[in-house]
Amino acid sequence: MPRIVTELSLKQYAHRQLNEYVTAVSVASSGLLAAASASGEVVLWLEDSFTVLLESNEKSIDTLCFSYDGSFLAAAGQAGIVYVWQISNRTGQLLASIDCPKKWLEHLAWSPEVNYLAFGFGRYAQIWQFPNQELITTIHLEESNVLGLAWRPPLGSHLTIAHQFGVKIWDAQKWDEDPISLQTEVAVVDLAWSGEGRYLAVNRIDKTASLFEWGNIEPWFLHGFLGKIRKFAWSYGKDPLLAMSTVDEIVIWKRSSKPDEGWSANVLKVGLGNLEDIAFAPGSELLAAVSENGSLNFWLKNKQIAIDKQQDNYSCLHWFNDAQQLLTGSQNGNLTQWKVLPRGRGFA
Amino acid sequence: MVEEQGNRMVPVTVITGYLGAGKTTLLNRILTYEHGKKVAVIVNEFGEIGIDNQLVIDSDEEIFEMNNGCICCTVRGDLIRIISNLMKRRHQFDHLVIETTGLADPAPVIQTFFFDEDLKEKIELDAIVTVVDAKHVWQHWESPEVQEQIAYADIVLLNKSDLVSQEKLLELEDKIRSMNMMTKICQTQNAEIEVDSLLGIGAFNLDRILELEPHFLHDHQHAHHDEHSHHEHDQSITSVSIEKMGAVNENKFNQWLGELLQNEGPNIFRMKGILNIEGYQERFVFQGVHMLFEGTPSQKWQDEEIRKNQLVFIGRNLNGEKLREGFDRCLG
Repeated sequence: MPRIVTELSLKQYAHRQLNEYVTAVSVASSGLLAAASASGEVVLWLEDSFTVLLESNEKSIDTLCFSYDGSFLAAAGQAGIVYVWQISNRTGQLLASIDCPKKWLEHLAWSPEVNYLAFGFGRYAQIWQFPNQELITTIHLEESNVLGLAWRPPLGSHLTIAHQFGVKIWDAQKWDEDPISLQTEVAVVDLAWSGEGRYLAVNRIDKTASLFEWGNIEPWFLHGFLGKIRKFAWSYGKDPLLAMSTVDEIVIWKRSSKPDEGWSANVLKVGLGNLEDIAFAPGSELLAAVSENGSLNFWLKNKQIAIDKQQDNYSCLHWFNDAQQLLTGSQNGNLTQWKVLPRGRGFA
Repeated sequence: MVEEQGNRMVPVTVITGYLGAGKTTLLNRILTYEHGKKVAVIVNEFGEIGIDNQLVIDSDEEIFEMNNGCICCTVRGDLIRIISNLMKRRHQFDHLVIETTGLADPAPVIQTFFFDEDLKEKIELDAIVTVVDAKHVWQHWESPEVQEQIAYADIVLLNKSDLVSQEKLLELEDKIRSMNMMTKICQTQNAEIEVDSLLGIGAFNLDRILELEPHFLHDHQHAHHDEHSHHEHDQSITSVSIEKMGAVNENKFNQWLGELLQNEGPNIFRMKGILNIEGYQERFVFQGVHMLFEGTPSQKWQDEEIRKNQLVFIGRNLNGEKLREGFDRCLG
């Protein structure tokens, strides 16, 4: 009989301080953490080891990500430079800094299976291979800036780029071929693939979302949100849940088992300020959410099972692979590690 | 104290003006002048700022339309992103200046601050400043951008005023006032203006203007009444002001305004007003750009104060009589 989780025990077990708003965090499979701040800091952290890769300066770092195997870390931001470090022994060696003058960089992504890095700058995106530092291709969007990019899981078979009129999808083996084009009529400002690459959720500027199934260019249309959609999160597995945060609510979408019935929504009212980030724990439907007003919330099967009110003005969060540890970042520069352990009734 | 500063709204000044009017000169002046403010400037990609400054940010103008293709529903996507990113950093700047391209309609920039919920919460429109080339504007008078830029202005700088006669300047002032009765006009050479009289002045907020200059609407209306009727036929952009005693019925007003914006939204560039709404102790202040509209209760009416409704509409092909009649029906 599986254990029924009715409650979680939360324990804050490690803390570090950055100088500014934590803009991005990433967790490598080894448990090594990386974080970036609005004053341009980039740090690596594991247990007692804390390494500063970039010091505070005048320009923010806004995106940062470990490669799939944790052997590289990439970061970029206001300065218009993509930094790539080779990671070993809890520290990093700067391998490349790619210049994109006068562009504020916000989008980069590593392929989930190979060390291919994609990033957007203005109307262009480039794909580089590491460690060779070989430029694989340059994509030019004629009519729009790159507004988001993501590799299609699980293998990174395709690269998806959000733009002002929809989404384009390139086959990662055939860069010269015309991409698949999904039209949305309005600008797409964010996108997220479900873990198995079956669904693509698309965040639209008009406070609605489109949801595409692979192989079908006709989307479901999701609307009726309180405000703009701040974050998307997919749960893991074949029939994933899609969570979206808007203002102080989370909307959970679930596809009906009947093929012609589409998606139904369930609204979780958190009510503690804008929800800045949400994420499902790896391998489960346990959802964590952080709010700007300082609450860390956990939901399972539409039930809130834990809440911690730290008044810490959270900005982002990231689960560890073991689904039992969590990293949060805050607007005041706090980086905190949490142990998240289930307490339940019944027998394991 | 620190908290308070953190929560303060950041004022934003939008600088518009046709190509060559002197926007860049003005920006350089703002950036070099010692006004004690930390100013962040967002310029379009063609702008050539002569000064190295960490807080000058280049941006590609990115106009996002909503799916109905209406001008009322266009915003600047690049500004939403850049300003959201900038605002993450505490105490980095205390005033924001945005330069538009010479050929830009200012509406999307202004609408951005009404549309995005985060910007709405953190940014306060301070003033729309339009730089006009006093000598060459006559050649571009038919350009819709020139007209729109004047229609949106809270302050017009009649620049290069040394290159034309005083007579010509007055003619230009009259022409501008007949389109936009709300704007302040300053004659400048080389965009020379006291920066303190340009930044942090709250010119977008009608309540604040009227507090400083109680007869602001009144004076313009009367002084230029004749010109109004003269020009009515040869130009399509005009201002209509309404001044009326009495208490406004909130429901009737909402319904009237809703219908008006639905039908006339594309033609109404800007509107501002102060209302005496039935049952409220406070004056109700509203402003709008095309179909986007926001209003809030503001200061309390003083005991001895005459409770007067004041509204101004600036737009294309406005029917003043119809607007006044419509508003009259909202009273009591």
